[in-house]
Formats: sequence, C-alpha cells, structure tokens
Amino acid sequence: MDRETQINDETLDRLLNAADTPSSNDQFKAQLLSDFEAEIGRARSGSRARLFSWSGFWSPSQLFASLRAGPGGLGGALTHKLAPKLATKLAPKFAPVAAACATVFLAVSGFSTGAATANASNDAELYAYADETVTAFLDSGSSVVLEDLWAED
Amino acid sequence: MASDWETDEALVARAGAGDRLAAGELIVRHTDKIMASCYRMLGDRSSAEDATQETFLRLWRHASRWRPQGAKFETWLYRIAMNICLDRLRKKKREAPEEAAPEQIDTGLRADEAMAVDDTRRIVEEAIAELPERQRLVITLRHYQELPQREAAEIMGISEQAVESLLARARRSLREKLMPQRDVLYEGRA
Repeated sequence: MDRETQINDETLDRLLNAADTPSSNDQFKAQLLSDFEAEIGRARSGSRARLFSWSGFWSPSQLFASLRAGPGGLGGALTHKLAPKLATKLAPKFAPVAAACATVFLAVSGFSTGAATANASNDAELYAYADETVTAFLDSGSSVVLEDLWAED
Repeated sequence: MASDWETDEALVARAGAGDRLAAGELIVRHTDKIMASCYRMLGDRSSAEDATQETFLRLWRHASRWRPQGAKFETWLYRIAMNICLDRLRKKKREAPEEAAPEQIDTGLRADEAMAVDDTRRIVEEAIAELPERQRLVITLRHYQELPQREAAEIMGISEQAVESLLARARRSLREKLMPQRDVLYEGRA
C-alpha cells in the first residue's frame, strides 16, 4: 500500500484478508459430534427432571412449588407465559402431549381447577400425570424444551 | 442415513423429526463457517468453540421449528450463532465493565510461534476486535462470510439499508484505526 495515501477500499479489503480466520480442526469436529450425541442421549433419558432442569431451569419440585405460589407470584407469571405456549407452539405435531402439559401447568397454578380434577385429584396423581406426559413428550423424539418456549415470543 | 446430495433443508427437516444422523451431517457441513464467524466475533478460539457447540445444540433443539418457506437454513443458523456470540459479549461486558479495553486476540499459537506472527495480521485483528459489536458483526458477515446484503440484514434483524450504512461505518472505523499504523502495514505488504 502507498504510505502517502489514505487506506482505500481495495487496500482495506486486502488488509482484512490478512487477518487470520481459523477454522475448526478434525479433533474439534469429532469432539463436537461426541458432545452432541451425549446431549441428545441425556435429553431422551425420559427424565422429567431433565426436561425441567435443562440449562439451569428449576428442578421439578421448585417449579411446582413456585407455580403453587399463585397467579400473582413468579410461578403465576411463568405459568401465564408457558402454558399457552405449551398448548399452541407444540401443536399440531405434539398436540396431545402439549395439551396435557398445559393442563398440568394450569392445574397446579390454580388457573383451572376443572383441569386439575379432570386429570388428578392429589399431588401424587398430578406428579404421575406430569411424568407420563413429559415422558411421552420425550419419547416422541421432540427436542423442544421449556427453555425454548421461554426464550421466544 | 445422511447423504452428500441431500440439501441442508432436507437434513434440517429430518433433524427436526429427531434424526440425529441428519443433525450430525449438518454439523460436519457447517462447523467451519460457524466456528470462523464465532472466532471473528469473540476473538479467541476457546470461546469460539464453545459458541459453535452451543449453536449446534440449539439447532438440534429448534430444528422442528424451522420452516422451508421462512429464512434460508444457513441464514437461520448464522442468526443463532451470532445471537449466541452477542449474548456472550454482553455477558462478558456486564461481568467486567471496567475492562472496557479491547480484547486481545488469542491466536492459539505457542509463544515462539506468536513471535513470528505477521505484524499486519496482528494489527488488523486488533482493529477488528476494537470495533463495536454490531460493526464487528457486519464485517464478519459481509466481508469474511461473504453473505449477500439481504442475508446479513435478515441475520441482524435490520434493513438492507441499515446493513449498508453499518458496513460503511465499520470500514471507516477500521481505516481510522489502521491509519496510524500504516507504516507497519506498508512494511507488512498485506
């Protein structure tokens, strides 16, 4: 480049091209694939806890306790945000499971007592129902998790 | 089983239905570009690798949501990657606000190799690292990934006109940053 002139477009392009842009290597790719497989394996373990706790989400008991705090609390806000998404975003592919999950959320947070009595009459039944629906959801091969539903409007 | 002739769009549709081989094939195809872009945004290899991994995990989780009539698959993937990079940069800034100084580029070289790193490259990399996030992003997408203006706009969530103007500002900033070093750059014959 001519030291007497400004840096023109062509020179700037050439300079930018001189900057190193490392690509991935084979070892990294292999590691990436292996980590990926492990993550999928964990996601499909059928564990209710895994679904709820993915990416630092609350444990099931924390989540349910918070939901029980009522519509005015954080649990209520969560339910307001999550339940409609569970019901609509997963449809139509996972409609039955999504609807069931939404029912559980609505029921435990007190938004819909009808749904609670329709599906479970006590905590144990409710948890069992949640387990069934979430396990069915995971078994369906879906990779959609609560984190995703929470993240985007 | 994934094949070379399958389009990205076909593969992501299969990945969305839970086909991990299809997702693996997408990883193999796109890791290099995503890794390079993340490196350009984050400035060090280790963070770039983490962001790349997160990008593909997010791809897997969201694959069922991708629709062929929406954004092109690659555009969508870049958007995921660049959002992850921006989140990381912001988090880093929040955690260490006093460290407003530009990041040092980690070339991933040993000390003796680093000694031999070309001055031109180092100066240019530092200048890029000093750019504001969005200017760095537009340089990454338009110059390094050679994406069309329309795709860059889609990834960044702004208009094509805004991309053009941002790119012009980024290039002007780079010129200003590089000008004081022009003697070294001249010697380096970039």
